[in-house]
Amino acid sequence: MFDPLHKWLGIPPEDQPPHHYRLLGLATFEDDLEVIDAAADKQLSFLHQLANGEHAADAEDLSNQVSAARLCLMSLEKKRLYDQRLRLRTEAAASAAIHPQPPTLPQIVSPTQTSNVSTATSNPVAVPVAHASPPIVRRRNGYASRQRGSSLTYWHYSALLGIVSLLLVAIALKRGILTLDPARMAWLGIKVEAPASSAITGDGVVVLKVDKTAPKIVARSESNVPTVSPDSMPPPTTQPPADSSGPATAVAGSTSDSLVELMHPSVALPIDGRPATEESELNKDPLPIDKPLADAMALVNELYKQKYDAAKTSSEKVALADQMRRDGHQTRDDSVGRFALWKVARGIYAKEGRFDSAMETVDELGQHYRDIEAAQWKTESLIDSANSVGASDASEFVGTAIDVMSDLVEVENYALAKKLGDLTELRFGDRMPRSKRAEFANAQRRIVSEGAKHERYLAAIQTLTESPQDPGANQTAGAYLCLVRQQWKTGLKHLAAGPDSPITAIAKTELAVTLSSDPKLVADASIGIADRWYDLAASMPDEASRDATFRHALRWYVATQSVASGLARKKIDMRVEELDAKYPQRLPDDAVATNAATGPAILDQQVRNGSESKRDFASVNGKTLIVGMGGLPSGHGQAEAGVELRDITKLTVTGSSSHAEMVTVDTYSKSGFVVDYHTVDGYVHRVFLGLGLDPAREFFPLPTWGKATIPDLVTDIGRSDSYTIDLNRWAPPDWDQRCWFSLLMHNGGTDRKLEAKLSW
Amino acid sequence: MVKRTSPTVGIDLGTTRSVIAWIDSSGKPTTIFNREGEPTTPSVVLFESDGVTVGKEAVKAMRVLPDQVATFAKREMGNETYSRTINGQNYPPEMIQSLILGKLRHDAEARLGCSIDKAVITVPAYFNEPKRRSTMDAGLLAGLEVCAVINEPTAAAIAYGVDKQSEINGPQTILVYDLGGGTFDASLVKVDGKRFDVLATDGNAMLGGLDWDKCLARWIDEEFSVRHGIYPSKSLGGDAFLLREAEELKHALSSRKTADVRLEFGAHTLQTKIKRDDFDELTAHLLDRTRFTISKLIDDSGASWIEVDKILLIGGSTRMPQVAAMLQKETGIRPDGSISADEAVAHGAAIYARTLQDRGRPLKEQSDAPEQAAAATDATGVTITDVNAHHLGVMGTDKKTGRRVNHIMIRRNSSLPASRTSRMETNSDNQPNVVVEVVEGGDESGRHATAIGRCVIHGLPPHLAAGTPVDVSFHYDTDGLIHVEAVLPRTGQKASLTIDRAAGLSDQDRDDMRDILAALGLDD
Repeated sequence: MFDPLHKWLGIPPEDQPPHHYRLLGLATFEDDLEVIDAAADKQLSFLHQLANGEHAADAEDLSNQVSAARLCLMSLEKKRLYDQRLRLRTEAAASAAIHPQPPTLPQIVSPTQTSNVSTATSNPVAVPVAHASPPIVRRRNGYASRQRGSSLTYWHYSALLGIVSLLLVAIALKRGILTLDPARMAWLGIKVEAPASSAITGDGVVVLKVDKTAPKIVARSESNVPTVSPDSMPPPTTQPPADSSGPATAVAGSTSDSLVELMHPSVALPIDGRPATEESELNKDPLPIDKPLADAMALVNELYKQKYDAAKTSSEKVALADQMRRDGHQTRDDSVGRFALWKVARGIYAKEGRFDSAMETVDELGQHYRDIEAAQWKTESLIDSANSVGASDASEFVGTAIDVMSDLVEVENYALAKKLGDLTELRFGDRMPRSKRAEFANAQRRIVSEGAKHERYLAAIQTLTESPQDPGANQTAGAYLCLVRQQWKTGLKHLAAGPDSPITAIAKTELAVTLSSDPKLVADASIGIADRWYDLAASMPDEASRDATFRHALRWYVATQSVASGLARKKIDMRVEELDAKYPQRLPDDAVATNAATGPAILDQQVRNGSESKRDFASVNGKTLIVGMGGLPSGHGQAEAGVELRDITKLTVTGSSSHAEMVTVDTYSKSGFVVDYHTVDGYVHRVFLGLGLDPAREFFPLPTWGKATIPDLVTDIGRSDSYTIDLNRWAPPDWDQRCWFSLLMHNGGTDRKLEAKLSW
Repeated sequence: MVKRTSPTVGIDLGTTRSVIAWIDSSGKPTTIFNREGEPTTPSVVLFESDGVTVGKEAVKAMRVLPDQVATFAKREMGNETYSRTINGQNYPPEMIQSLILGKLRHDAEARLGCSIDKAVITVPAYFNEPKRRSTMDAGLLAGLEVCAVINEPTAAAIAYGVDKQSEINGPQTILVYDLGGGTFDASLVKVDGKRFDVLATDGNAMLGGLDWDKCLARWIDEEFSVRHGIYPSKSLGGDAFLLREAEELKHALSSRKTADVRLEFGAHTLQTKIKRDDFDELTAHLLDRTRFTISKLIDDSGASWIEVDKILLIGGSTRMPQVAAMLQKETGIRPDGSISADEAVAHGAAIYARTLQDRGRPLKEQSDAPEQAAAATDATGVTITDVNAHHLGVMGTDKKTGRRVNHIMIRRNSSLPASRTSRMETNSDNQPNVVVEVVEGGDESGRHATAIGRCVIHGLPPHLAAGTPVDVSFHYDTDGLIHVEAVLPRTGQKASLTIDRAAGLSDQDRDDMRDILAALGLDD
């Protein structure tokens, strides 16, 4: 068999397929474009001579490869990505080659280690027991062949034994039976942080510096699983805690201590404790922490360990995880237990490459528990499962990774986002479906560019703590907050304090307006502000800033929409339409609130009545809404009257009706209040509050204002002369306190009339 | 009324597609459509027990009867060792080509309603004499009197009227970029009035639209695997399916920026889109190879881009917008593709044929002597200088390393006639004879070269010391003959050799083939 790579280019079979540099006969990672170009020319010329010979087809094929290599290495962007991948690959290959045997320095991390270290003397017996035998290190290797099928390998057994021993160690540590001596840990190659003052942020993660040849993805809990049998461990339950007041501070938020984690090292995630302050969070259970969680984890391990051991195939394990997830749903009364169950289930999913199920589990956790760092958890799940994901799921995996990367960017965790990007690139880079490639590259670019801006922002903030007036730092910080993060409320004051420039001038004006309480001034200035942002947007240096500025202009246009009139209003409407088309999805921070534009007010009013009977009527008179049916003998008719309210959450409505009873003509007969809730996305939620509704009502998309659909929710508040209505009750979570409140009567009977007086 | 004379047609005998054209009554070059109503005819021949089918139907049969279909015969022209054996019968490339020419001729006769017996056939500029001779033989076998065999780039230049422009604007240097279905050729032609000099020619014999299709086919294959976990290429008939769809997609992308992909394979459907940019990126390395080839061509010719006045696009694959974009970027010249890329060569040949016919010169003698190999001025005043397409060299031994080297005597792209004398030395003491081994093509060490002949000086005087000079002279004549002479200056002993590069089929061969063809009968 003729081997053209070897015979012509001197690339022996063991080096095949060659990387681009080898193919061109260059030093690896050669940077000089001229050198690369010349090398490719040389190879092509050489191959061209061979194109008339016996192996012409081989020569042509190699020429194509050389040409492709040249194009890749001559494009800076492509070369960067290629080099990155090649480096990761080389390192992975190198570490696989270097570490077939356990390294001489054993490493250990226990799930509760970070915060659970005391400087007390170590138990001279327990530590050696746990680590006496030669440790086995499991290392994530991007190119290790995936374990498939059902055979329980040596690794599984030893890993399970390891879990047990580690758990025992953990329990021992927690109970104070066993303490870790930092000095000894240091000797073992582990850096142990002393229990820091108040800075420990629910994070039980220790990053182990392994060695330089290790893959970039630093493995966490490189659990060197001791090959001791469980019997040889000190039975923790038989010994009461030596000191009940001893440190027992297992940490929450950590995803590190699930059943699977313990056997399968995963990636160190620097979790920064960003406070989540959304109000909806208050309805959720608190994140289990400390001892309760540790206890629950122990219980879960106890309950499911046998089943997990028995589950030999991947699908059996996934089935077990499914079971645990279901069990979690049924464990409503034990919030901590459920948390533990889902956490472990997530770990199993991730390990078996079922990243989709792992994502769902994280979402469920996020729905039920406060302060879940969902993006970090998802990242970890993806990283854990990356090795077990099959080719057919690659597309979906990359898609999910892109989403999570974007989530991470949202929470400013650029380092982790980059890590996930690198891993995805390494794992799927050359098999990435074409459809995803551009999207993925975009996500990576965004991480790099926003990450750089974020770093500059941090530096600027640092500067500002020393000299709060520094114009440059203020502008950097303001630009980041407003243009990248779209946090105008916080960023604006920084922008306004920037050096003299158009953006500073506008920011100053805007700041003055938002602080002003003169409604006239605000109304006059607002349109100007919107226009000035709009004009400035066009001259923004990059697309992201331009978009952010346009969006901000849009906010101002929307805010001024209701106060403008005539031609000015026409222009605003056109701009809003234009920008709405450009940015169909509004961001949560998009609402602009000025002092003048707050406070209870009626923004607008609308009436409509049916055309069937000329005598249906609807009217709004200040805070009084009146609807009535005409004289059609059948009792048919439609009438609605409504007002648009701002900053009113509680309404008192006193009503009066012409007749004691409304008539039910057909299934459309009804009377009641319609509330349309406004959010950043416009009117999105309609609730119908019936006044003594008959069952099985049918609805039209009336009234024609507000959301203008059939109601999302129909409820009844009974018949009464007076109602106190708390609008918050049915409001969507992101309601911005704007709503349409309408009175409606359909087919209510001849000459029926309803009147509602609103007050707040 | 003037008696209707049979027109002399121009034929572009392509690797994947062939075209025949004539000058119509209004004096315009016009493509003669084939029986299927198409301007181009696939150069594919299907051999069946009851006859031969050429063209579209043969392409269809390729899927079912791949063993009975001959393709790419042009690549093998002049290769004496090649023959396609089908149903136990050997078909040398000339015969396969003659069947294609026969089909073109028959269809054109049917269209024009008169007999056609004279033609001008085009060949790539790099065709050497044996290949040109084979092409003429193929024409003869098809019953055509081949008035001339001209270079494809020359024909393109004629079609574009560059000769007329040069009369006004002075000599023009044009680059002809010919990207066809299976081959890429680039030629630098200097046109000065009626004089056409091919300054240099180069190409990639196996780089064409088909390779672009393959890239797209691979993309479709991957899209299927991503969405459905199956590779159509691994199923029976999958490759043909992929290539067919890829070609259609390529055509769609040549006219639109985005193309919808809606494909069904087995039980699986694929619905997606592809942008022209994506396609360009998928195939960028192929395009870059042509870029490399033309820049090398310019280097070889000793010219520079500034001297190039015009770039002509021919070959169907130049319809891909990426080609024109790359050329404009590379050269700053806006390429001219105003004549249908498939038909330009045939039109040029038809124009040339018409001028030959109008001069009414007896064309007989030209079928014997390859006229364009001779830098002769014929009746039309059109002069065509040829270049040799391959290095001609002598195998020797490098004194320092002891390795065999190819001492190149006449470099490729030298204009003919060319002569060169080199002094060499004997290898060892008491050498009894000197062997001069003549090779064509190949690299510096003589690998991949074709040995085309050898001459030996016997009976050297005894006690001759190593390093005795030997003079070797080459003379590549315009009539396709290479004269090689080796002289031992010390004694005056010499040996000579004449290699007839223009040798074609013998009359005997030709008659044999005629018999076979007659027995076969073109299926029409």
